[in-house]
Amino acid sequence: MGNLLRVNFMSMLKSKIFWAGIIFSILLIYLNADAYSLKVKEDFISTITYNYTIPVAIIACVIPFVVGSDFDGGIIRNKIMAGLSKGQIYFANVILSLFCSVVIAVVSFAGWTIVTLGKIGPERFGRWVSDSNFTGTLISVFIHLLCVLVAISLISTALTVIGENKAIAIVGILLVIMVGNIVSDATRRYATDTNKEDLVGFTDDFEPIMKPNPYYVPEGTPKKFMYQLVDSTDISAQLYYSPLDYVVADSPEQVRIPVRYDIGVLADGVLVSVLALVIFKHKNIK
Amino acid sequence: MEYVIETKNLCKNYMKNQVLKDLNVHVPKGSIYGLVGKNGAGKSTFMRVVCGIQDATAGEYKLFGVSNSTSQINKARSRMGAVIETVSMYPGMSAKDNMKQQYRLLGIPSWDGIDELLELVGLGNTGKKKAKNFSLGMRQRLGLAMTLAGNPDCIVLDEPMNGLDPEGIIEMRETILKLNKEKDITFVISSHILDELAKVATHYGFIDNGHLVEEISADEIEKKCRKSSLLEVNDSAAMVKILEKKDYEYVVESDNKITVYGDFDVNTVLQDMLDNSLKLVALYATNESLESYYLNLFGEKKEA
Repeated sequence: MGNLLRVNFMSMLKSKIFWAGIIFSILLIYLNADAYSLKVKEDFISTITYNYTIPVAIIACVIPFVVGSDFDGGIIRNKIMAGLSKGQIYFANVILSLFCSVVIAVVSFAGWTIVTLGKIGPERFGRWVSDSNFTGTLISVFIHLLCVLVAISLISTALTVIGENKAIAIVGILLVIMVGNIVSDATRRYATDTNKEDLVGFTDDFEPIMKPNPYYVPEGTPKKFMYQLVDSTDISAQLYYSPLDYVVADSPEQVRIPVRYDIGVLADGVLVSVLALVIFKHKNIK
Repeated sequence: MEYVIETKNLCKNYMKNQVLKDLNVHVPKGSIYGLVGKNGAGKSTFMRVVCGIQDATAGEYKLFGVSNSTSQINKARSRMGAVIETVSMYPGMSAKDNMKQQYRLLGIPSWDGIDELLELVGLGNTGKKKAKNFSLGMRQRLGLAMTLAGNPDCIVLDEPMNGLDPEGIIEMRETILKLNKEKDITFVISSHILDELAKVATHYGFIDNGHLVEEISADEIEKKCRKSSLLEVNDSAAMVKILEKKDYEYVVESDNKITVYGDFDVNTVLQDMLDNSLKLVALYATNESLESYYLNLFGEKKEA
């Protein structure tokens, strides 16, 4: 297993896509931070959550290239011939993709923080920095980010290994994120499309115009099976829930994301991984 | 006899399509086993199954005496190397970096021997050229070098001569023979270039439609593919008397054509013919090759 991990990591370090992903994420964060400094002065937590779709999207595009190298040149055959089981190969790829995700995420957020703090200064920490709940909320946000990163990595790895095709994996994971966003808890909570005036989101000058969705079923209310199913796609909720709530929240504790979302998002990732492993073990490799 | 690979009623289905049907193959230790069959006969599938790339649907196989139903099979498989269809390599890396990756995978602590292996397969001077820019022949050679990294006891090669130029084919053949002789590595080779296969193989397995039609050693084939000479004469009956006296094995093909089997002393027979006023119209020497043996075997099967 150690040998396999060494091979995988060396392959990742030699991957141009991996390095391009890191450079691209720094570049995007820098440009985004510049736009923020000109337009609004959001608080730190809000900005992190609003921006974390960037590394997530980059990770979703990079992982299939890193994990997919097993299938590019038929390297997986060498690994099997070296006496490794498919389970070991899959597990090593999961470790690789998690590492890749964490590296990109850390580089993204560290880079973003340095750049924006440099541009705006300590006031970047925002309106809640002196609130006693600030630290707790910050930790909860980072735990959410970690859970989403883990889930995205697991699902991306699963799609790559099963599909044996990078394009399919990238389109697949982006669809998961996009469809997830559309059906997410947060979107349903706020989205209305009845009139132009009711449109959700931000106007050109970043002023939020949000109205409650009259069709949203509040938590605790008995739901139809479909809504229960949709609520299980917690990855999506993570991506949209926080930034929308932050804009209307009065204190940090109001935006602290419930732990059930952490558990849900991890459960999604683990479930997909287990299914993928079962399929991979019985799959005919070319 | 000790077998490196042994299968018992091995079956492999792709959905409803049965590709291997009760296949029983025996690859003796130290042999060069040639797998012969037309496209779609099941050669590559057999290789994929015994190499663990795909699972058998039914039946059993043993590698170095270890059954695939035991947990020890992965360890036994690590004594093998394989190049099946396309070469397994990192396209974005050079030949040397690919070798280093293989060394890492196999847990070999130093890079000793990499240069020698690349030299052995003729890739010693490729420098930083990436494998994706290699010709098909160079990829085949790199594949062979990578399989040799772990000092395997058995190497499975699927169409190793594909894409090689005439010089490359000769080098590949000599490398296989050298490794077989000097390191006692068993080879399982499938090839459509039967003449080339005949130059290296010590045993053959003829596969058709997922079945093993015949398993035979090269010596046995040589005995079956005997030399023969076709004599065209003006009087077959008189010629038969001469052949009877000399105790030759023969078959009268027509009124003026006779096939004589085995070594044939032309000078003596010609002298006898002159003595009996017989006229030799033409003489054709034939030597049945693996190719004609294959065609006869599968032709007979079709007719049956």
